[in-house]
Order: sequence, then C-alpha cells, then structure tokens
Amino acid sequence: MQNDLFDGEEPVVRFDQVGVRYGAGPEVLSDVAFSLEPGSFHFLTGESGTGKSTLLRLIYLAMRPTRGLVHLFGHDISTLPRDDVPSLRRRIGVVFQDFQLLDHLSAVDNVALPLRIVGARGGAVRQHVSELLRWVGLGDRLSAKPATLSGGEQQRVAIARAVINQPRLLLADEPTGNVDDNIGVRLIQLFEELNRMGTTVIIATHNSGLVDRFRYPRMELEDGAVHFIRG
Amino acid sequence: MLIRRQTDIPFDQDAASRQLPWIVAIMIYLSGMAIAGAIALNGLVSVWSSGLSGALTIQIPASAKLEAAHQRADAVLMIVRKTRGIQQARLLRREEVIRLVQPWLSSEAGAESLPLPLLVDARIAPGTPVDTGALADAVAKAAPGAMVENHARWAGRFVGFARSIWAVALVVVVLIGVATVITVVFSTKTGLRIHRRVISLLHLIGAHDRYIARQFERQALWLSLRGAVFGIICAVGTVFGIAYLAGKAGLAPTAGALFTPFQWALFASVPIGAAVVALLTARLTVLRTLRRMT
Repeated sequence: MQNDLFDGEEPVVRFDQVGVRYGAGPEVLSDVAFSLEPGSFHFLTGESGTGKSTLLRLIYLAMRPTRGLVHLFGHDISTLPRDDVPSLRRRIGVVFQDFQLLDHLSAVDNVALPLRIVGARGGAVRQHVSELLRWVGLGDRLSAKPATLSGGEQQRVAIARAVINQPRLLLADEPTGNVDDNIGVRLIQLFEELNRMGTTVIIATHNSGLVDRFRYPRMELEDGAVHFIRG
Repeated sequence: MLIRRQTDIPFDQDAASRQLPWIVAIMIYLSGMAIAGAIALNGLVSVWSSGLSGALTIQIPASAKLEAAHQRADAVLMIVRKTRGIQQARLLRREEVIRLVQPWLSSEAGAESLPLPLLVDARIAPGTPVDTGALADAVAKAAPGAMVENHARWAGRFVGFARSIWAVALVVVVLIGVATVITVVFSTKTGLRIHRRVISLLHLIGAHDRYIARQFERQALWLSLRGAVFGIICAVGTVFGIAYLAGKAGLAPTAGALFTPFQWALFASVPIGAAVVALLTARLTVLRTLRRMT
C-alpha cells in the first residue's frame, strides 16, 4: 500500500448497506449507509446496546461486517490485503471505552506506543509524549503505572495515546465518561484542535450536556440504523 | 546482547518464560556432554589407531627344536625386509615376548616354561601400501604355520567405531535441538495465548506481525541464551572435573590439552547456535500463528 492512502476527495468512512449480527442473534446494525467527509466532526449517540461500539469497531478494523461494504480512506476493507491493514490502522486513533492501557508500562511508555510501532525512538519522542501528557493534566504522573492512576487519569492517558500520532481519523468511545466536566470540556477542545488540523473525529457519548454545548452534527443510532441530526 | 530492553508485551508475567531457560540449560548441558564424549573418544581412537596402523606382526609357531625355529625366523625376517613398503623389521627377543603375554599369566616362571612363538615386528613406511596377501603366502612357504597379522585392520575397526560414536553423538545433538525447537514453539504459543489482549491492542494501534514477532524473538533469544550459557558452563565444568579425576588416575591429560582450539570453539558455539535456533523458531511460530489467528 502506498503512503498516500488519504485522498482528499474520497470520504474518510463510507458504509454501504452494512449489517452486523453476532452469531445467530438479530442484526445489531441493519442496512447502515453513510459517508463522512474528511475533516468532519460528529458525535455518535444512541441508547446503550444500539450498536455504537460495534459501529466504531467496524471503523477501526476490529471486526468485519456480516454483510455490506465498509470503505476507509477509499479502500474497501473486505478486499484489503492483510499486510496493508496496519498502515490503515496507523491513520486511526482510538480511545477505547475500557482504555486498554498496558499495565506494565508507565504513562509515558503507554502514550509512546504508537510512535514506537512506527519506529520512532529517542529523547524527542519522550519529550513530545511528556508535553502531551502535561497538556492533558498528567505532567506529574509521567512515570506512573496505570494501576496507580485514577479512572479519569487512565482515560486521559488513553486519549493522549490515541492522538499522539496526529491520526487522520479519531474514534473515541465515551472519552469523557470518567472525568469531571472541566476536564471533559478540555478533552473535547483537544479533539477540536486536531479536527482543525484535518482530523476527522467521531465521538461516541452519552453525555448530552457535552453534545449540546459543542453543537456538532450527531449520528444517532436507533433500531440498528443511523440517523444524521444537525448540530 | 544480554541487556534487555523493555518490551510492550509483559513476558515477565507468564510462567512459560520462567521455565524456558532451565529447559534450555539442561538441553545444552546434555548436548555439551555428548559432544565432549565424542571428542574425547575420537582423541583416544586416534592415539590407538596411529600406533597400530603402521605395524605388522608375523607369528612363527613355537618348536621343540629352537635352532630350526630361529632359522625359519631368519628366513621370514629376510622376506619381510625385502617386501615393498616395509620400513624396518626385527625379531622380538624372548624377554619381550614374555612381557607381552605376562599380563595373562600368573607368574614369570610360568611364562618361561611355555612354548612361546617367535614374533617379527615390522614397521610400514607411511603412505606405502603393503601387499599382505603376497607376504603371507611367502612367509607360509618359508615357515609353515606362520601368520601375518595386519594391525591396520584393527585400526580400521577402531576408526569405524569412533565414527559410529560420532554419528550417535550427532543424532543426540540433533534430537536435543529438535526438543529445544519444540519447547520454544510450545513456550511461544503459550505466550501468544497469554498475551492475546496485548497483541490485539498492538494490532489495533497499527503493529505489523513482524513488530510483534520481534518482541517474541528477543525474548526467546534472551531466555535461551541465559539458559544455554549456564548449561555450557556446567558442561565445561563437568569435563574439567572428569579430566582432573582421569589425570589424577594417570589415564588422560588435562581438559585443556584434551581438546584442540577448534574443538573448544565447537563447544563454545553450542549456546550461540541454540540461541539463534530459539530466535528463528520464535519468529516463525509467531508469524505463522498470527497469520492463522486473523
């Protein structure tokens, strides 16, 4: 795969009649069809169990749809060669709902993980990571292991890890679920800053206060389908 | 090489990682002992065969008439000396013959009274073949009942025996190598199962299989090298211990003189070879398993 995966003319994400079911159960997502333009910012909302996490998992290539087509950066993921998947994933930053931090690594090392994977090493990496952690209010917890961090602190480390590479697409699953409103606002402002630099952002959230405050378009999941609501 | 970098995968937390160095240490110790045994035996056979392969003995039957027997011996001696390839030949004195049979007799007096054969000891010029068949015919005509013993045949048997031992040692080392590979495969697959969540996360962040394989191969290299160095040190210690005991009993030289520099290098290469095998095994196991997993 070439490095110019991102084509400004192509939608960053496109779903064509996508359906997902787990085992023999009913479809969690049914005939989902939408496309997201580069540089857009969306909240993904909906009741618990409506498939928000499933939709995000499809986008960050953790699973394949049962039917339909998912295109990322213009590439049909069902025909994407296995060796090309990592290059695509490196353009996507993900804030997992359960953080998925590595317990044996310090906050700095957790955040530096995406940089190490692309081969970056040395003092500049550490300085860059430390600055970002200071920005999210963890300047005094650089060497702390996840087990010694509070839920909110772990969430901020997870967010720092997702944005350290300046991804083309940022997906966040309840990124403000464990932080107070002030930190929550500050984190959304961080996502806005990335969005201004061209990153497409999708934030799955239950926090209606945050959705009302920032007034970005919403993707509302209901009965397995996506409805777009203007912000 | 022995200094470890922190890995993204928490290998310190799985039991398979803790046991691998001990298993490798035992494997390498056994390999080291097999190689040392084969080298030592090879050295002894070389000494024996070099002493035997250049000699012939002609045995002339004992006779009541001592003068007639000596006449036959002189005739045989002349034939032997004229034979192509014989460097020198001499008739052993009776005392020398008695000394040869003495270990199997109860007393010297007994040997003195025995009708002992006359023996001609012949030395063969190096690199010159001797037609022992023609020599035996000629000797039998000059002294009926005389026999030619070709020591090269014995030496050949020793060399064949040594080669068999080398082959057995090689098979043992190969089997130990296969067992090591199986152990590393098992340990690596266990590690892949234990660290499945971390591996999945690394994939989602954009890691190639090669990146994950590198972490496993470094771990396998570190653990096997640790075990292998310990195992070979124990094997060298055992060799020196045996050599010391053998030297005290007057049976063998010291361990330092027992092996040539090349053989010591062979010995030292065992742990390096084991570590490289472990590294490659871990890499291939991870790459194949991950390709099947996703």
